[in-house]
Amino acid sequence: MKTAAALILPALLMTAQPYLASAQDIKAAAKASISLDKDTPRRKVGEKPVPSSLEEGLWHESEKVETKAKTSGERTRDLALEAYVQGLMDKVMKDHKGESRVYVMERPVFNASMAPNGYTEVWTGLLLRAQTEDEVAFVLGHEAGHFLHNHSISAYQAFKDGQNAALAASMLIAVVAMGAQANAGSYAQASDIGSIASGLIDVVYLGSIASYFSYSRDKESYADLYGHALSTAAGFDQGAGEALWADRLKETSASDYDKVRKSPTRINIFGSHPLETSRVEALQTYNKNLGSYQTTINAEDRLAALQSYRAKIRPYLSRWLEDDLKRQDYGQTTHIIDQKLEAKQDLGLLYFYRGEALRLKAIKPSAATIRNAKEGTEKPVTIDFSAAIKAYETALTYPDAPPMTHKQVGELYRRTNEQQKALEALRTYLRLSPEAEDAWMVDDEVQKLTKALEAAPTPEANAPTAPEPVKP
Amino acid sequence: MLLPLQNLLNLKPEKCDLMPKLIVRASLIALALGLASCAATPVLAPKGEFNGGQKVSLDRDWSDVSAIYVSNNKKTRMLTLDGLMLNRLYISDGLGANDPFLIGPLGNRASDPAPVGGDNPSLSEQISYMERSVATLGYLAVEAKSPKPVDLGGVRAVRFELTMRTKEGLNYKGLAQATSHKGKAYYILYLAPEVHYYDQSLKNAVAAMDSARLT
Repeated sequence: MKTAAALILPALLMTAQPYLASAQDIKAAAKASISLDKDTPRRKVGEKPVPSSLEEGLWHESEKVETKAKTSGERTRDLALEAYVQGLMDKVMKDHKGESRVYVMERPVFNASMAPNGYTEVWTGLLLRAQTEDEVAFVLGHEAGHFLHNHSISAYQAFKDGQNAALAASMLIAVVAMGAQANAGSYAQASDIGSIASGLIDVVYLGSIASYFSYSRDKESYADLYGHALSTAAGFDQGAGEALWADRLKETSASDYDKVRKSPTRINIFGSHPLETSRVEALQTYNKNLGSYQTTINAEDRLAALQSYRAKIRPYLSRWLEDDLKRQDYGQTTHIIDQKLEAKQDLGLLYFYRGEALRLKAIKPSAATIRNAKEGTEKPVTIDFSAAIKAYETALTYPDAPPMTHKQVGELYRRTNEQQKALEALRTYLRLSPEAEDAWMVDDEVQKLTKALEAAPTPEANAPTAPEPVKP
Repeated sequence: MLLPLQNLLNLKPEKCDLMPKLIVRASLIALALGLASCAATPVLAPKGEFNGGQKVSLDRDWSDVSAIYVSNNKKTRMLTLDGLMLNRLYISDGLGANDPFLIGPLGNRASDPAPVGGDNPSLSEQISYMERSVATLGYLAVEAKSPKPVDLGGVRAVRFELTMRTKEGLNYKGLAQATSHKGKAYYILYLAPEVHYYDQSLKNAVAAMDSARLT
């Protein structure tokens, strides 16, 4: 009996330890002011909830949401992309491989989440913003850390006192939303009111039971270190986490909107605790105290990592940038594009989208213009397209600039009364894309411009024309 | 307003700081939308001339539901035959550089402005603008295709198809017409679910588009 206890006890203790169990890990974490030894123990491989337990209830609720996610119109239809991210998750989860199911959702916002039953969402906005596979692996490791340490259960305990209030709130929202839906003026509006309400009911409903996306500041810090440990154990770069988080802070500061710039950065839309500089600093301190930290990453390795990840996301890059433009935060889109330039690839495409972002930013009405338009006191606004033109022109110095670049820059030359340059750019577009569906419209523009130039030649007729694409 | 609601729901901000704010905001939005909608009713848009800044002739009766579309632009009218989920026709007046054609469900706000077409857009810019506008209504993967030239009483216009899907995965189709005349932009947009409803009312939408004349 004594012998059996001596055998079992150490095994139990090992299982009960936090994921980062080495003395060096604990010490490095303590230097970063994170007490890992206070976290809940990690779950066993393949562990299932005890019947009729709180955890089983959480799994059941998560399964309901997962069923919705499977058939959502927002789920990517690109199974290869989903398989790629699932592959990364399996690599990061190692022994727990197979306990998560990844769904990639086409939403242009940075977000990932993992429910107590292993149902995981990764949004395309995150995949666009990550610079390397290492950064994606870090986020997946972060979410896996929450999962492996059952953070949702302790979060639920913390939220338990608010349960009745939350249920009352969900009932109120459901009733009001049904009324609003019945009176809504459009399908989309009805749908969106429903989404707002049902989204909230889900949050309230699930939140009252689990609140599993709303972890405490401590749990987020633990998950950062688990993300670090899991991803580095799988062979990914140890500096990825701090680089990714630091860039999210910069993206927030690059927003067009004062309100966003002044708001805390959130890396999970449900997260109650924002990303703060202290989290980045904690990761840096932790890294340094692990002993093998390199403050400057080899430039060659960095470029290889950037280009390797770019090869994976290249088929989607254009579509994700298009989606990001629809958020109408052109400062942030420009920031994302500028980050992407570091890989020294796809420069024609990236500068084209930089031009798109700057063109749309130029015509976007300011708060004052919206107010004046509503009040009927509109004043003429001078629009400056020079930054957009410069971006398109830069795009055209690279061989991968889309032919559309000629058309877009031609349109802006026309608007800025550079008629000859407009004519040349539009003609180049027609030469490169004679079969394009919009060729007749561009040809219309060419005819108009030709007539205008014949009627009133201007000194700029001899100005330099739009650059030709560089031969690969 | 916030405090009584918090009391009603017995919310404890110190324990769940984000949740009550979200709940209260959503409740207020939903309440406001619900109450605002109570005052308005659809009106008949009878067969024949439908007067706006863009004159069109309807080949059958439609319901004009513009008044109950609370976030809508006063310069865009919205008609339907069988209900908004099944078919709808948007007809704009002449829009200036800063007038939006479509406004999303949360309104035209400084922090989330409705897209505008800008000054003197070309036909291809108008197509791109229409894609962005339809996306603000919450549709996904909005794509324009097959632009064809149209003559509106001597004014060159473009007519093109749109494809999209809802968040729930239902496919929708659209047909749109756009042009610019005397410094104003004009749009007509028909939207319906791809299965059955799009084809069912397409001829009525085309009749309205064919009849458009600019003043």
